[in-house]
Amino acid sequence: MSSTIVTTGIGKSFGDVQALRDLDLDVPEGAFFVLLGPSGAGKTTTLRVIAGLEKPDYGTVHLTGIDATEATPAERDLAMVFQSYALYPKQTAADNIASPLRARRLSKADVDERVLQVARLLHIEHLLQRKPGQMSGGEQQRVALGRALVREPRAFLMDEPLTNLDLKLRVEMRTELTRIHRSLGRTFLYVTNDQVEAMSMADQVAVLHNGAIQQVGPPTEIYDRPANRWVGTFVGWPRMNLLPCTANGQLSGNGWQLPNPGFAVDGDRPALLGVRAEDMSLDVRDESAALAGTVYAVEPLGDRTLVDIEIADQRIVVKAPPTASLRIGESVRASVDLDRVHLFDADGEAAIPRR
Amino acid sequence: MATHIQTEQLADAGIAGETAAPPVRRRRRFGSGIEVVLLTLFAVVMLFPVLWMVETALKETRDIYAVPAKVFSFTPTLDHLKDVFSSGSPVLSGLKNSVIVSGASTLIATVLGVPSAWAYSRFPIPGKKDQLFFILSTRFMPPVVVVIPIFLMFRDLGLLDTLQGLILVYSAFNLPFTIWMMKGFIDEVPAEYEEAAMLDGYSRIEAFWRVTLPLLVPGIVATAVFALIFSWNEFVYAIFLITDPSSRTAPPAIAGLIGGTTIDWGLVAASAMVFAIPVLVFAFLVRRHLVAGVTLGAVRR
Amino acid sequence: MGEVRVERLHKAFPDGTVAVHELDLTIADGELFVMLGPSGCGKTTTLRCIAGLETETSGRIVIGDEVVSGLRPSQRDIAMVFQFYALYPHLSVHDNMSFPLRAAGHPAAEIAERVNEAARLLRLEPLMKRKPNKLSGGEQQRVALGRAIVRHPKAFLMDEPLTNLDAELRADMRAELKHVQQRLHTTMVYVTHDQTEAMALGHRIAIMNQGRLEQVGAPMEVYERPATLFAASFIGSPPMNLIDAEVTNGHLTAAGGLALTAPEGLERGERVVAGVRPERFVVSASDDDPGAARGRVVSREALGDETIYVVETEAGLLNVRMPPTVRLAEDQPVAVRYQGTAPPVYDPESGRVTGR
Repeated sequence: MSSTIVTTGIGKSFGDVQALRDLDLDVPEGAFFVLLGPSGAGKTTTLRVIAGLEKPDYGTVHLTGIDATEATPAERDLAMVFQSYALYPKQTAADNIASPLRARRLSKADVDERVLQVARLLHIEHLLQRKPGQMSGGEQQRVALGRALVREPRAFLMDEPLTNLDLKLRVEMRTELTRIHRSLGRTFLYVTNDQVEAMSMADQVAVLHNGAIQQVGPPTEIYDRPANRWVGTFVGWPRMNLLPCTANGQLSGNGWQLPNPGFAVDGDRPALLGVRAEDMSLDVRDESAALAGTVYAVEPLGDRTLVDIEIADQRIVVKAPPTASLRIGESVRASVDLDRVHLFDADGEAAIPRR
Repeated sequence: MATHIQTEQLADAGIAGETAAPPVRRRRRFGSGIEVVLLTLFAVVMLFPVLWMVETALKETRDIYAVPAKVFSFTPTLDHLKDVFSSGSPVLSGLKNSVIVSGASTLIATVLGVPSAWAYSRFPIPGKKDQLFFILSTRFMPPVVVVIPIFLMFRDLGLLDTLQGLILVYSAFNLPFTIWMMKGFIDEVPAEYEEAAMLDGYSRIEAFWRVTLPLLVPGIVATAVFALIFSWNEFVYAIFLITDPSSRTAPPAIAGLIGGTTIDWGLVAASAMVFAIPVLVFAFLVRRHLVAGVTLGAVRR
Repeated sequence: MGEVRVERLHKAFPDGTVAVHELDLTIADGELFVMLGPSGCGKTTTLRCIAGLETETSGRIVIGDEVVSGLRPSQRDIAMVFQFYALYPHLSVHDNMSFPLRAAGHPAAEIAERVNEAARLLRLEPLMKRKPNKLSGGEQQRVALGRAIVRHPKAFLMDEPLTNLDAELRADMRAELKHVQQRLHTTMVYVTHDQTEAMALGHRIAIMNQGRLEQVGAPMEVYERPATLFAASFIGSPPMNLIDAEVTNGHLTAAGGLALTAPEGLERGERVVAGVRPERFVVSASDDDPGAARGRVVSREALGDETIYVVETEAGLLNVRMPPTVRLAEDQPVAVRYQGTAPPVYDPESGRVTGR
């Protein structure tokens, strides 16, 4: 399987801030590839370097095998949808969409035909003669999408295109984008800080933090087998519980102890136990794999109840069925699904593998 | 993260734990009557010379010298205005030269200034802040401070008594202003439009030309008008660098009417009036940008 | 002691808009009472009337055994916590918390005791000497809470205090707030537009809409059996499915043949709107169950521990909550089935719950 976009060792700083460090990205052809990370992680910078709008301090960008590091944006044959849409304010929607074709000097007839085709695909034929100032956010977003889709570029770059839309529209457009991707079969590089979006849309997710890729993989792998503490706590709600411990044959922490379910540790290793709220249960069958504490708070959410439990000076959250009824201060035990816990090194916070 | 100060009503209410109110500033209201009277007085004082000039331009010569002065009881005449435009009138050739010099220097400053401002706005140029400050600093001093060195340089270069010389000086003074003002306007047009155009397939320059420039037209016009006003009104260099009457611009030409035994005040007033009108018209057109112009575009978001 | 009663509270503004219509609420002593609703529903106005920041047009407020209507806020023995933290920037955390007590003239020993108690409860001990600009958002909010706690008021009034915090911090503070309130046993009247917060925190929730009360009840009560269509659509994320159905032979039947369990007390042929929570539906690749609604997956939200599907059927767009192990793709033909006991049903005209 060939790769459409490959960045190797990209570094980029702005003044004192190191936005990207040694970034290696490999986007396979035809994939819906999501770059996920919080604000400031360097996602937009990565996209801009790939598009040619920023020059990296070091590293290379290869597009379908060709070194494009020195190429201008026009030469790279990429289409981009900006977060702010960047529609030309004095031009109609039709002109905006036609712009890439006119830049390539296509005939008027060809241009008009393609524009109409794309407008039909996105249900915006009625907007073609309007200017951006006369359209809603959602409509502008579709025009911006149209401007990208009207060509057949090497790849589509999308910079948080749905962030400015209200929730309902967002979910709608999410589905539409996935559908368009499937029907076109082309490479999409999609940037977002919304992990639900990433998990729902992506074939592959690359998690970006502090300018470096933390992990790449399909959504389920990011969720079930996070490569480090950071990925583990970034994805998933409620946030993954973390308990410092010493790992050897056992996992021993402050006020608790669990058997080591096969993590590869030699000697006494300081570590962090990571366990998601849904991987614990108040229904305790196996006493040896349970944590004991006192109820700190009970939060009924309707379809589930979150039970906050205090263990020594730590606090964890356990997902319980909606009918759970406990009182604060009550002693409680929570069993832990040892097949689904994670162990992270206390120093580098990388995930410790099982044997 | 910012902390927010308790508003005075809530402190008074003592409900968030506050029982002492923080100091309160009371606003005084002026009687609007006093305001109006003072402003009217001020307006009269400022505008009276202008009114007198216009009247003088339209009065018959003997009415100009009448004692007691005739403020409203005179019959207007257009003779003086006709004199301004009669052939051989020094004022007419002065106006013609002013048009050439102002027009050319404004054009040069704009054509050079807009691309420079764009470069400063879009590209990470090393030492940009210092460069821009240096450019701005040329306007810190009154131009008259360097008139003598320039006079000496022009004499050596043979540029005295030439319109080209004056155009050069005016361009040099207008350019920093143009760059500063245009940079402010360009900063407000998001670079993303150009970036989108580049991804569409246009080169950087094409992107600027097609997308950004149309959005800058009001800014360019305002900047050009300011440059025009400066060049048009400029007196010191005009009088220092050009002594030949046929090459003189309007301000020295009009000033030259005053002197000798008899002064044709009517002609002077009429010339000044004709000279002032274009500036008034242009200033009115850019009145909204006038404040920014005074601060040289330095106060911007 | 700390009971709060709102009696026939009516608030109209000079321009004619009525913010609160004849509202009656009884908040028990020591209860964490949440007022929930969209902006403009009257919840904040009600809170401000209880505080004394607004004057009611008619009706009265009783706090403890005292009628407080007409009293200034500082005389009502309440403490309020706002969305903005309102800390004195030039005073340390300790001084911020002791200031109201010093100003009220409490003896030094008592002040020290109360401040230490609050600091312990809110884990502020390591921060006592810092100034607000050196604190994070969450820490500042805890100090604001501490400042309210030291006054030992009859009731706390909270106006969306967690809205300014980021999602993770909000979840932490929510648990902490609940814990602190239960330890203190002080009445707390809490206003929010976030239904998750309301459900997690409240002993009881009052759902308000356009100045009127839609329902008051414990979280699970409000969740399982919302009293009105508005309450049904407001509580729960994703929102409750509201499906037009008709009572047929022992079932409720919706368009496309979707069969739901019929509650008692309804007549044959009666038309209702059934409220079905997403977790009561099950979606699977097409099968031949006659009681299932056939449709197409329109969207998929992968949350990690579950997946939310939106399925387009003849009965409408249905939200379905499924465990993560079930994998269905967009545009896939599927069938949706109802599971369990009778759902709450609503009269289409009045919007109120009916049946049993």
